[in-house]
Amino acid sequence: MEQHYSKKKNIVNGPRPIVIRRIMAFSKYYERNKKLVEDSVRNN
Amino acid sequence: MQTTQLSQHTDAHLVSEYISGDEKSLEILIYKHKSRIYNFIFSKVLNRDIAEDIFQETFIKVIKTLKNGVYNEEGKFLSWVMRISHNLIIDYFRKSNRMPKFEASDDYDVFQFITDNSPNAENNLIKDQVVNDLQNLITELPDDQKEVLNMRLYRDMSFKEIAEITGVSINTALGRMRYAIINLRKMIEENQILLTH
Repeated sequence: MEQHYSKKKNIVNGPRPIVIRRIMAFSKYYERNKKLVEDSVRNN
Repeated sequence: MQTTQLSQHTDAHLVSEYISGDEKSLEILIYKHKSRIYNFIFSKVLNRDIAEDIFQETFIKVIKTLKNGVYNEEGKFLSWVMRISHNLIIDYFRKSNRMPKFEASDDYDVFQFITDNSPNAENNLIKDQVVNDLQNLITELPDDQKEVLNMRLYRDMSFKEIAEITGVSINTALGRMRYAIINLRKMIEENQILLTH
């Protein structure tokens, strides 16, 4: 007899790796970018 | 990311290492909690791209707070991050001015469950009035009760999730829900509002 099993659902276990790489890049350059912004504000 | 690496350190230790300049600690924290945080966001917005945007925005706030030295070590790291994402989800719905909706997929089509009972115009008007009255009453509640009631009724969250996000115990969340219902009943009686249709 033919069986009708439900389709396996695609369980997502987190965001795509690119999202985590973007977060890590933001973290890595945060201090440097903050300093650049502060310097430009001071100079203006 | 290796599981041994994930379970070796506590969140507090990893946070402290990250504040001291160890970027790898943040990556470990993200990998450790990414599923829970992402699934929580996705369960509310039901869209992968938006969920990823909110996930990213959450950690940008986390990074700014930690790097600026304004992190308060009183609560648990995960609860704190969940609260940030919860606030960002609310911001998202406020900005887009709409509530969560179901979208049809290959596995699930919401339209197969919809039947046409053809309600008449009068019933629709009464139903809208009841919904409006109830929403107006909810806005009159104190903020802490309103928050719990909205999370429970409109977002279908468990009291455990509510407690974690609002940073209170489960008993407090239950108590707030109880007082919200008591206050609603009081307001319904005082204003002689009829909430049936």
